[in-house]
Amino acid sequence: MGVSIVDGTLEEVVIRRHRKLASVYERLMFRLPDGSKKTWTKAVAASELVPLLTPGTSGRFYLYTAIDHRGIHGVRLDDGRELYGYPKMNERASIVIVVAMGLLMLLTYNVLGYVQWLSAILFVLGIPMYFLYRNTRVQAERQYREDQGHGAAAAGG
Amino acid sequence: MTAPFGDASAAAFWAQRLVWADATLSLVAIALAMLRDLDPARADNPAELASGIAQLAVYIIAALVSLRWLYLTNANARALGATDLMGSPGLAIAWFFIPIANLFMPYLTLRDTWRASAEPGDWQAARAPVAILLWWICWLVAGITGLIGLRLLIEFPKEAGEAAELFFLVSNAVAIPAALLWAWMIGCIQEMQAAQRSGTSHR
Repeated sequence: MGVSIVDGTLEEVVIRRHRKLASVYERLMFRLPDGSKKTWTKAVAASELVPLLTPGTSGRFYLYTAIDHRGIHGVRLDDGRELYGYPKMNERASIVIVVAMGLLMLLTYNVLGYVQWLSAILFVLGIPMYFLYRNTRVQAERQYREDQGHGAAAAGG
Repeated sequence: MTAPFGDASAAAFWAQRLVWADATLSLVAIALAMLRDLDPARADNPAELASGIAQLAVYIIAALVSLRWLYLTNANARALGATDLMGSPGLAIAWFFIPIANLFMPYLTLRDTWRASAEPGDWQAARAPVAILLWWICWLVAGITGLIGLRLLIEFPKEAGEAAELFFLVSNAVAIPAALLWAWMIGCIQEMQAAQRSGTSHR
């Protein structure tokens, strides 16, 4: 539901768990140029970004928030390295819920003659959830793409 | 685009008073039910009818004023500099009305609003008190037991009348701490936002 940018140095990295597709961080703490700090808790990062998220890393970090899920979808570091990676698990999970609940509703209606309220609610909720996650991903992609000049400027300057 | 800081003190003032009135009426309902030994056959009397109508009316008005306060206060947290808060002030209200999401999202919204009021610049590092979770559990239990009591009363008025009375008693009993905790949270968040605005934050 939103994307933002943090320019600073990654000072503290506390990992919660590593998975094949993504890692979840208990806490990522950035030190900003004005000396203040910004903490990003329970943040998700796609596995390709994980090697760059280490203490001392400095540059521009691209952040997203979708409902109560937040994470990092890109970095452009001061040393010139840059990488984009968006974890799509929630988007996929919501479309799976919509399809599965839609099929379940059809099945129960044909076999039992009625629709279970829980599957109907999950089906109805799954649709806006899917679009919320999808829109956030599209926003994140656009944000990273449109900020392309920053990496070159930072590395050059 | 973030809206400027708005004055939420009037909404907070009335929300607190209405919530206290709601807690008092829950206490009255418990007392009236105890006086007739939870006998559903003796529930049909003018005092209980008046108490029930007053309780419902105060609850609805308190809910509306509280939602208005939550909207203002969530917007004010953003105006104080809290970035990346979930959704929007409007969504903070909408969560209460979305099935399934209304079982946990209002709690998360209030928790984040508290944290953003305590430390807007780095709100994710701020801690929220356990009292918020306690409030939410009480609020859910009060709502669920009240609904069960109502369903029992509507569907099995003769057979399950006593069971429905028991559910209403539990609902009213749990609604009191929920209301008191809510009023306390309103006061604390107001105080934190006022301190942040005047630059004298102490939390």
